[in-house]
Amino acid sequence: MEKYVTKKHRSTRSDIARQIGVYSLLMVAGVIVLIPLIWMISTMLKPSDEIVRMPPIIVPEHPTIDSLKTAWTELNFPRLYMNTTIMAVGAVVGQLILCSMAGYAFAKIRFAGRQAMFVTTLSTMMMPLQVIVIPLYLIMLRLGWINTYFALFVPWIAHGFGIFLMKQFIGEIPDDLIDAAVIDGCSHYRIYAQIVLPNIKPALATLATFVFMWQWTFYLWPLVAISTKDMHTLTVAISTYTVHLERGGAHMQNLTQSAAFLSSFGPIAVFIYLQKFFLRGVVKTGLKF
Amino acid sequence: MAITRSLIGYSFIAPSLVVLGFFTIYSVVFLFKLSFTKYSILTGDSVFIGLKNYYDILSRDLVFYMALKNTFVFVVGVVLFSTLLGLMAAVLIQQIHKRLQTVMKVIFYIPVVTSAVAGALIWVFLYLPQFGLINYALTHYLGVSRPPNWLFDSNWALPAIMMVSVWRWFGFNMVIFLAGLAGIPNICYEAAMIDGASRPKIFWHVTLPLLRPTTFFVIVTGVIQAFQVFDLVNVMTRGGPGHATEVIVYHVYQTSFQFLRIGRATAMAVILFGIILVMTLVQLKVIRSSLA
Repeated sequence: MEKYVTKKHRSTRSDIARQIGVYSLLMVAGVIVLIPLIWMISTMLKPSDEIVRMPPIIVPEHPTIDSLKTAWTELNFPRLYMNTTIMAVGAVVGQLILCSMAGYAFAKIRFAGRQAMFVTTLSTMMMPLQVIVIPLYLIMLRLGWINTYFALFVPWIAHGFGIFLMKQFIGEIPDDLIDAAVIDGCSHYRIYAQIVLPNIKPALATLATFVFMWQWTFYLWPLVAISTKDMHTLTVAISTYTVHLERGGAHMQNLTQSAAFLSSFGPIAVFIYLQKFFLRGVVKTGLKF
Repeated sequence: MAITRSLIGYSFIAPSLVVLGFFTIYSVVFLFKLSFTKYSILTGDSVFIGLKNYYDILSRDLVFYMALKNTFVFVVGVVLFSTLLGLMAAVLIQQIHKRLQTVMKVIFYIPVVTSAVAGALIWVFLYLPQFGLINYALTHYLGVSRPPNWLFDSNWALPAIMMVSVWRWFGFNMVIFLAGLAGIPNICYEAAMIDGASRPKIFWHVTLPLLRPTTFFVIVTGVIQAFQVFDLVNVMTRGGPGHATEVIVYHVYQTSFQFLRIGRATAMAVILFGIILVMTLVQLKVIRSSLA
């Protein structure tokens, strides 16, 4: 709305007052939204006695990374990062290949039953994990995959969203380009590998980021599919780290907040670094993350 | 020729179809089948019992009704507030300097990329009755003499979780609304300006109606997502105190993975599936009518 105000007439006094109002409102909102994260960082750097001090202090008097170290070893973070990375990267690689292949066929190859197959694919988006978690668990049980890396990522190497996204992007490649290649005797496999894939790099990057973020924050599935500590992912491991509340009360919160920080600073840092690309992806796809 | 083309087409979609078919679609079929049985997870035996699971849930599972009610409250509250706050944030941000727009967008979006579990751990601490920051602020800055016990109070636990969810969600709505606002042609505003309309009037009679497709999208996706709430509940309250924060997915999870009543739990999941199905059909209809 700013545009037409400044274009049509000089800013008046009331306009300036408005602007000040808008800026201060946003500043207050921004602070409120960030307080939980600021508090997480502040608490994890505090020694125990400072956590329960009243009135609370934001900047620790004697900052220490002891609780970060304790949480790091107690929860075995190197292992958690590895497990979570396997779950995430497995799904990302799978979806980049499988979804782009399917997207290409749905966008550019006219074959019998294409529409029906596409609708079937899309319909799987209405079947979230929350609905199918029990049968999926039983399937894993029969496959003997419970508590393995296979269970963590194999069910997610293809996804309705991903296929839909790829179809949309590949659909924007001009038909002429592909038809010309077909006339020149180029096979669809070569077209896919040498024309389509290089042309949809931004889309592949978008899909990769989204899937990675989803998998990184995934909770329900690793919670049921994994049964031993050494196979835990970040979310599952840190979710049980509230036990300190029962054990020692609030002054152990520096451990819990350390765990929360260690699990979430990665995605937040990646997001801040790639924000432009990231938010464009959100708008383009209408998907969360 | 057509046949080879079809074969080539299927060779491209086959890997995805196998994965989706075997894990997702087969799971749904399996889900319906299980919901008509009494299934023992230990022996793998299943006995067909018809609609008994559904009958039991609807006739005597009081916790299910509580979960249903809590979920509805959660959905309505979270979607309402995250939509309103998302819209407000978008409208405000649109009026400030471009550089700062980016900064504000990033700030409001950070909670979205924070995992629900990490968010839950952070907020559990904030909500602590005695040492939590929220009650400190309430008593010392806002003069509340007896602040609620939040997660330990059956009246406040659900609203408390809903606030975390709004915190984690409104930034997403903001981004979608910003895109919607950017899509409104300037000429619409100019016409209203020439007619001498005031700012609030322009917002009410020009901006909001033109944002209608965006708003529908935000609401319907929000509703579908909110019905699936689980992570926050499982970490913050485990459905308690009492059953104050029992929600459908948590009840399904508990019935199946803790009480091992697979048949009963799958029947509940089928009911959840029905709700999501209806919402998705509404979404499709809205998208189609907004395109037409």
